[in-house]
Amino acid sequence: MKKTFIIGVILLIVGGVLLSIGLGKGGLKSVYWDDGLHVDAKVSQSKNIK
Amino acid sequence: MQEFKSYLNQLSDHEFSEVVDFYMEYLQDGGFETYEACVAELGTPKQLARKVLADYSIRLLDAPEKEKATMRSRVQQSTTQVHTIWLIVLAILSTPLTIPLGIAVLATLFAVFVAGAAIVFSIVVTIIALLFAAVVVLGIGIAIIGQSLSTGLFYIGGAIASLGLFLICVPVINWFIRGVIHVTLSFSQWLYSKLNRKNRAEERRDQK
Repeated sequence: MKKTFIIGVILLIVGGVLLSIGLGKGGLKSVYWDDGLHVDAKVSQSKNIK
Repeated sequence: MQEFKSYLNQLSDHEFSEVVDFYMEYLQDGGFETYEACVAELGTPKQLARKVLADYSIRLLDAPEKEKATMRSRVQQSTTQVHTIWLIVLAILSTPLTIPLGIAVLATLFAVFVAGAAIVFSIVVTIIALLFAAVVVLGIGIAIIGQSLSTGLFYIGGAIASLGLFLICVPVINWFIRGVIHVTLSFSQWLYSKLNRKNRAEERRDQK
């Protein structure tokens, strides 16, 4: 039981570190299935309106 | 007596002979010759056997710590408790009761068991769902890390952190489920003690 707890804490810390690195680099994006998994990509277009 | 013996196969050899000797002696001493006389005194063999089994398993659970140590693991202890609850239910069901009281008791018992089972079931289902979600998110994270390192790390990190959280929660969940079983057991024990009267044979033994 104690072993499980320690492994749990380690996993939580490792996961937390990875999560915060990802979050810090702006990784909070949706993932879509479109012929394979793809990260949500924002496309910006600008047009001149006469 | 033969029928009574056949219901007692769950007892250990020592307990079995103790119980059988006790009732055999009682019936012989009291001069109950016919089957009907015995039933009138102690109830049908099935009723008596259920009562004996329930009493024995309660006594086993109430036994001092020394004897409890013989029950090896906690899982085994929980299994014994669930088994005892079942025996108590059987004993209560075979106790002769007046109809309104019987309906009330049955309804209460049913409600308690459904509630207990529902709590345990919902916890188990939630755990399975969370684990499943964590594994799926982990897979997505690994698949996506080639495209975007940050998003991949974010997903993998989230999945690993929830797995870690789950492992930390395991003892808590374990404790909670055991608590639910224990409460159900205490309740059925209490109900049993309210309903169960000692038969004449036991009364005489206690007086001695």
